[in-house]
Amino acid sequence: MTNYNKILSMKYFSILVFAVGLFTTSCQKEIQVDLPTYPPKIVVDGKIEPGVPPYVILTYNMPYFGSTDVNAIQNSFIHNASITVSDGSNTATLVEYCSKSLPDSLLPLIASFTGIDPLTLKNFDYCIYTTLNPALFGQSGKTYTLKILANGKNLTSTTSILPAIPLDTAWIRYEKVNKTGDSLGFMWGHLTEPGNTYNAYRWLTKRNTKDYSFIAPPGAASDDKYYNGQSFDFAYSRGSAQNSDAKDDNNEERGYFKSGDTVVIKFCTIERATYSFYRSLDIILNNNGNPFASPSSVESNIYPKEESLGIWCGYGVATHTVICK
Amino acid sequence: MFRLSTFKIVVLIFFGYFIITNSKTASAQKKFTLSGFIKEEATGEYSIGASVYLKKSGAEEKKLGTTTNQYGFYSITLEQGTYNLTVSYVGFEDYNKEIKLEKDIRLNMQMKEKGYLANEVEILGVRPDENIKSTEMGVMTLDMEQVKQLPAFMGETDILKTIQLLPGVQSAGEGNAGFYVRGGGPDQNLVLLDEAVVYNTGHLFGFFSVFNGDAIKNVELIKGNMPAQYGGRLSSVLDISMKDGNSQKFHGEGGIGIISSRITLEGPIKKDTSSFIVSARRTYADVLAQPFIKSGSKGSAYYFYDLNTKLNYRISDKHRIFLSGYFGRDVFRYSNNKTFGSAFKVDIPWGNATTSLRWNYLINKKLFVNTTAIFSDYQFEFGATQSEFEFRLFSGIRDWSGKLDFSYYPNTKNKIKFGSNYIWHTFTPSHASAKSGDVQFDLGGIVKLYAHEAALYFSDEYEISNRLKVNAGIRYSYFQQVGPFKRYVKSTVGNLVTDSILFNKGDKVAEYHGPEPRLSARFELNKNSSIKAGFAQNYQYVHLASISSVSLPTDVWMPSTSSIRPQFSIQYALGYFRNFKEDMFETSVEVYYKDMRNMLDYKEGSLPDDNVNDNVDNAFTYGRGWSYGAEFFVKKRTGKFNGWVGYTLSWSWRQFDSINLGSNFLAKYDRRHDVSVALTYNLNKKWTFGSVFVFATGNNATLPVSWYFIEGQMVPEYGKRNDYQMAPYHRLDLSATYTPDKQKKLAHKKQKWEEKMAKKRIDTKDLEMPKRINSKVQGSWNFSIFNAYNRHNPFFIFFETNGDPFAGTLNVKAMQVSLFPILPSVTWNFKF
Repeated sequence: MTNYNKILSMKYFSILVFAVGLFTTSCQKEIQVDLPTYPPKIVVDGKIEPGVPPYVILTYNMPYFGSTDVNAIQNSFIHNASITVSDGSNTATLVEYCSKSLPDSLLPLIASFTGIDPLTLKNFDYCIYTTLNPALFGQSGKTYTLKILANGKNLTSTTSILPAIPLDTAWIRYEKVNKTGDSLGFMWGHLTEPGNTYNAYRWLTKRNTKDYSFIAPPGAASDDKYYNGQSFDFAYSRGSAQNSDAKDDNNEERGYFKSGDTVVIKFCTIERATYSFYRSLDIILNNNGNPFASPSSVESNIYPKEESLGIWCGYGVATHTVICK
Repeated sequence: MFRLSTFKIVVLIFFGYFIITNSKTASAQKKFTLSGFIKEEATGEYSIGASVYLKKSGAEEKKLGTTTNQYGFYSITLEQGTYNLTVSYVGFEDYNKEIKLEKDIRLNMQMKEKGYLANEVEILGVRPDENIKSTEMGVMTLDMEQVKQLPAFMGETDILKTIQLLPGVQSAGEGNAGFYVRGGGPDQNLVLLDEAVVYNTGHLFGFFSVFNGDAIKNVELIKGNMPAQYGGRLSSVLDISMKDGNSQKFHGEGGIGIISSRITLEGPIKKDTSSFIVSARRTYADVLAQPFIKSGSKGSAYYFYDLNTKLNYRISDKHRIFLSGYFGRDVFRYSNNKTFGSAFKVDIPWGNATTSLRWNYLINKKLFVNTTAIFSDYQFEFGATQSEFEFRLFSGIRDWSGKLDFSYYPNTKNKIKFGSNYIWHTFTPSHASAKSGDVQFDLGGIVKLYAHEAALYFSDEYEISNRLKVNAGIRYSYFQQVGPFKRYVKSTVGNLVTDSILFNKGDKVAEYHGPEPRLSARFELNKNSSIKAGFAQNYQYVHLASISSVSLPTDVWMPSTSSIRPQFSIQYALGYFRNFKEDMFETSVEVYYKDMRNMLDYKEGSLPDDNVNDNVDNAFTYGRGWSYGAEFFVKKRTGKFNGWVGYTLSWSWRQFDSINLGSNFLAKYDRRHDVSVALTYNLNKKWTFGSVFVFATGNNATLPVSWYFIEGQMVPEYGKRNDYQMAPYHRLDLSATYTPDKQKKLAHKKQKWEEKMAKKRIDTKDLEMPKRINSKVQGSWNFSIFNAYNRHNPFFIFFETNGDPFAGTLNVKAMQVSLFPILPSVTWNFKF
């Protein structure tokens, strides 16, 4: 379900670049762009899944061009916000925790939530809002309302945790062998898709010992428009963190799983609004600067939309572990 | 839109007018008609737009005149008397004759080509004072022979690039097939090749046009108020006529360039009765580039070819038949073993095919009718495979149409045109299929959309007084989308498909119709200057939906449907025209205002696969456009040194409720300033020089204004639509054409041969000369330099992000990509 999306998204760009390259050597240079003004917005990055505390990261957006120093990024975090999560009968107020004031032993846990590596969390004061009240840990089938009051602005959102739909099986299929003799391949799954209802999914993977959080590959979110009620095989490449400087994200192993890896697949059932968010996020991350794509925006589910950006996402989670022999 | 009663009124006016004009002529005093065909002597090609003038002998009266139509026919009805007849046609010597008009006369004339001595290289050709006399505004004619004197990009003469040098016509820069007329969209131009609509005008993603200059006789661009015989588009008409084929003798021409070669053969099948022309062109860049393609991409190739053919047969003086055909294909193959590990292959062929069969019938000396049957087809295919995945996409449009066009010349004061046309459209917006191994994904099957389009028109060019002439016309157009069709109904909340309505074959799905009045008038101030004004209303029932911001072959043609309303425009134009120094200089200033409704665009964030199990038009959003501007034009018509300078000052706005939060924004190709200079200098018999300079305000782009974190990733947030203006586009091209003196060269060879024979004491009288001395091949060399001062014009902007935001090393840079540096080319052209 990913591959033809990938093919479609690359068709405009790479083909044209290739065709142009046949005739001429196109050239590029840096240009100065006058900084356009933009309205500051509150960015919400919140999740809730079964058995895990809900958490929210609250920041401001930053100017696009030019250098951004670490203080500016540090200052983009919004502190002292009043955030509540409610499942209709229970309500909890989230508490702000910042990485510098936490013991080092907790940093891997924060890293698994945020996708920020533990070393950075030690040096950079990264803050998240969460609750340790077990009544508000995620439960399948429940709907959660998020309310935020930050710097005088009120924001709200709602999400549900849908029942998980597990894969029938998952396996690795090798495509090639690298210089050191390791086999490289993509991760495959077989899904028997329930018909009748609308379903949307998001696929994430984490390699034990190598990744500190679950990572989504390109095209990780899809809905059953193409495969409603079908039983079929599909594959994903390995995702990598943005601007990753890990060795295997910058050599021929990029995009591949390797023999010896133990991979945990997190196959999530998501709501339509969440699917729209991740799909549009994917488009914008893949198309950034592509002149052949229409400019787009990420479809947030936080209200009011004029003052906010981001997502409040409930995951129905099925996990599968694949040992790559 | 309009009730059908309007239609009845139009029909009544149509016939009522016809009867009145007819009876008028019947009651007038004794008059006779001079009519016939005008053609070029050497080739037998019919002359389009040649002017025929008559002046009463000895009298100081003003000249009375007309011009030939697209088939070289003219007709003029005058009082009995003796007249001096003058026929003039660009590039040809004037034809003069005294005519005693005492009965109806049929006079066919042949025009002699001007010799070199005339020293005239005129690219935009009309009769000397046409600029002042005609009611037409914004009409330009290109003479193909002369276009070839201008610099050619990679040696390929390109009529689309030449028309983009005219004021009011804009190019989007390199790599874009579309042209933009007076702030309109690229789908708003009606491009006709021998009356057949050409839906995609670009080869190689728009770097070259599909029109092979060797096969083209005449190009006419109407950018403003199109006469009533044209319709179906809002902004312009580009009417291209192919050569008929030399009816006198066999003849060939061609060229060998750095990226392509051309060959054209033409000649009589039966002299003066029937002739043919075949013209072919193919690029061989794929062959040249093959050694440079990386081993991982072996099997990648890109080339295009096209073929023009035409046959014509003169059954009698009253009946003629033309059969024209065009076929062109771009073929792109890409194969990569590395990018995705397993072999990744893409195969994309696309192209146009058109055929038109025309029958000219001269009913009587005043009434000419042309009946046309047309086939027009554009197809785009995309196929990709990787491992077990296979993906195919197909889109296209196919038309079958018929036309009936009458020209009626009741008297010298009126020139009437009326007729009708009908088109049967079949649209395939996209048909996608995908499979993984044996599992076929549900991509919705083939979706085809069907529609009828029809129109009736009537127009009269009426010379009310010596000073005032009007061209009034009305067109009534009709469009109906018919089944089979499945309409997906969406809920207002959540945009979910909740229901579908099925239409059976032939069922009416949507219907639109409306009148399109056209009016233009010329008021002659004096012999050298005039004022013209125009008004036009147009409907456009077919739409090009472009998901990207440039015009690509992947763009999809769509009919008007129950949710896509026809595009509609009203244009007002006013102009002042003045000639200087006995028509050596032509100048004009035109101002215009154009209002366009129901323009369409994709909703923000749409993807090409949105139409799967849904209607394509559910991904569209609709809005309004308006543009206004002033066009200044100065042309030197005669002399060794000639050419033109055009300047356009313009604004083009858009407003879409669901784009840019509903506020007005400038169109992507809004051009505040646009300057074009095209000059040629005819140094001597051997050398001609040409140059082109263009300057244009930069295109508008939508840029990100801020970024934010989601899952530790930096996500850009885009600002207002088209809020950033890129750097201006400017470029200078130069060319030189060298034509060796063939006679001199042959004479020299002959002399040497004779000397040689003389030495051997052989009498040359009885000997046949060797072929090389008798060679009929006339060659010429064209040297062109594109982008002479190597300007890096912006093609697009992308962003480069470096560093780690949490380490304080983040830096985002804007990078500008330019396409073509300085590019010299050489082409050898030949004729025999």
